[in-house]
Amino acid sequence: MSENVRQPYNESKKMEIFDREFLPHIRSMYNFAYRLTFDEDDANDLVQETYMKAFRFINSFQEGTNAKAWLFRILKNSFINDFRKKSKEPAKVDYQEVETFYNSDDVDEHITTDLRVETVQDMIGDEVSNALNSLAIDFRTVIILCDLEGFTYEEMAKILDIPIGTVRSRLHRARNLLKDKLKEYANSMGYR
Amino acid sequence: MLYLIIDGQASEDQIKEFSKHMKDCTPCYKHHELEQAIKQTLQAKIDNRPIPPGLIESIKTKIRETV
Repeated sequence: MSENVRQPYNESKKMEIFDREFLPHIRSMYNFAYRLTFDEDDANDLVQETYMKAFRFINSFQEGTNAKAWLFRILKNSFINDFRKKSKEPAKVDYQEVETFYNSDDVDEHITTDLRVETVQDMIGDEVSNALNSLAIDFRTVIILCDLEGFTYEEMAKILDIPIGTVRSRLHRARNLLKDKLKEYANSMGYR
Repeated sequence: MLYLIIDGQASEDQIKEFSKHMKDCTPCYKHHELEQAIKQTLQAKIDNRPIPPGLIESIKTKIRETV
């Protein structure tokens, strides 16, 4: 964090960076928090906590660099380290195990090739949201970061503290799982 | 490579190569169409919630208390 030789910001500079670089991302941050916690109050608390931390550690933020990714990383870490312990979110799944399972060769592609483009396009928001929300949190997270927030794989690797290769394989698995869920919805609604 | 294309992270050469390949390969063409439709559907149909009123003010108040 302190490899850059840089003067710490003074108080008015801190406020300026906070207002200009951090606050504009608050809606994305709140929506990310909500999609992790599924609870408005928890999301509200998580965002407040994240912004307080961002301010406290503002000297390790370099002006003009990617504030959104920096903030998302703090939010994700706050959620994992502090928040999930307090909330009612069910016990943590062993993602390593899940990932190993899904990375094994027997599970792959074309499981859901019978899902039709028109079927997907006809789905309503609730169906799509429910399918996404039903995914385990690590899989849900990569789809949120990539598809909803538009982060690059490299940015996602930094936010999640994992190698790019893992980002890509996790995204691949997440998308296959999402397709399975969409297919289940389609079947239950009698779509073909 | 399909995901690199869908996610806008492929190089120009990769895009050209894949477009050429898709013309002759129906499974890849269909897979691309489906993945793109899913991504676009997620973007179009999952609503962003508005931030709760007072959230920004409450953060700013707390920060003013710390400085």
